[in-house]
Amino acid sequence: MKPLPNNLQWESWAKLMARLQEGDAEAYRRFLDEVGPILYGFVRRRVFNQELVPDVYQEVLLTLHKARHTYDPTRPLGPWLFTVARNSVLDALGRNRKFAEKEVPTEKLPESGKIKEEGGLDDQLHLALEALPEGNRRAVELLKIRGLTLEEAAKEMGISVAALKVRAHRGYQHMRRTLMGKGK
Amino acid sequence: MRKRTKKKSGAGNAAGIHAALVGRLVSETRPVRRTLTPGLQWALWFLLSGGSVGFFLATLGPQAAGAILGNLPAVLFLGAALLGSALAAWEAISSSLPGRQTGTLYRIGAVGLVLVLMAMPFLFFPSAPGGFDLMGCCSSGWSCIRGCCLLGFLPWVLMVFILSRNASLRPFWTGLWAGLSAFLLGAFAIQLHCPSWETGHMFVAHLLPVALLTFPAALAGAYWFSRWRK
Repeated sequence: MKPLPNNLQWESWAKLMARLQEGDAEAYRRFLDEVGPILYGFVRRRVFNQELVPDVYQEVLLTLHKARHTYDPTRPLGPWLFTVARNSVLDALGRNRKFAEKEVPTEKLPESGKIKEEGGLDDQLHLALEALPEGNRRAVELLKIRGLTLEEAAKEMGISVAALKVRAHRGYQHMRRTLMGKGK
Repeated sequence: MRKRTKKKSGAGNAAGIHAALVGRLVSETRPVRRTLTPGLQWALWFLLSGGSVGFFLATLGPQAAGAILGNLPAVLFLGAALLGSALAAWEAISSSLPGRQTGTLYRIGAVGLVLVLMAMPFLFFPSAPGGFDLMGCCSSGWSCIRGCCLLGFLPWVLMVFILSRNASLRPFWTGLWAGLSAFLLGAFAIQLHCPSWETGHMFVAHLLPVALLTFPAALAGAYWFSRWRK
């Protein structure tokens, strides 16, 4: 088990924190490397589902980064650090819970063969996708079928993320109209 | 449709995730302007808000000092309103700075003071001869209701401006305390102007607007004070 940090370590981290606020990249790297394991342990103790730990840990570091200007170097670092960490953990878990509530477990979805028998949803989706203009179709395919991130898909299409969002959005609208028209 | 980033899972990836994230964060390093200390923020808000409210009050014309100073419940009421505003402002500022949150006792004390303030018109001041008439108080006290809103609005904007640089981890509560502090200051100022010390009027025209405006202020705060995380 990693020993708890002593006062000297906290003071040294507070100094690093003050330097990173002034833009010292090396101090920032050292600070995150030294404090990271403590925060990781903090997150691991608070998150029941261990698969979520790396994601929550990322969230903690990102929040720490965004809130770094609020640390006052004349004050102890611990309360600031753990307040940010505790709230980030709670926020991340809350968001994950909300997302999980809206998610449909895959085991509850009917098999694709069954869909085909029942109403040919796969075929209809395929036709609706095929009916899209080239740009919109490619945007939808990259994002929803190949599962690329916005940045990756935009790079592959050689357009900006904003333009990709517009194309994908128009594609979804077009498909919705096509599918609803068929449903009537 | 919601965008989801690709996730790595398992503790084994921890070091890799840490290294990648640290690399990204370090590459974004630049000097940051530190936030002012809570004391300075509080003093700045009180000074600016007090100045603006004082200016408008001077324009409206305060009631004679003798009418207030000779009336102990009136002095207590005004003192409680000002103290409540100051405590709420401190709470709003503290709640928006990580590691500077006040304790539960402080919050209980502040809420208790506001509740006592709300009850004071019923405890220490005479009611109108015809009894409590909500609609009558609303129509006769319309100028006070409007004045309370207007006098509290500028302190609220100032508070939002000051808090925008902070990093609130509980934006709704920060917004609620910010609204309470600003509109209590407005109620304090309007009570200095309005010569009526009658229960119904004080409650409906001076205190109820505070309660009603604090809630939308909290909702606005929930949105505005969470922007720093996006």
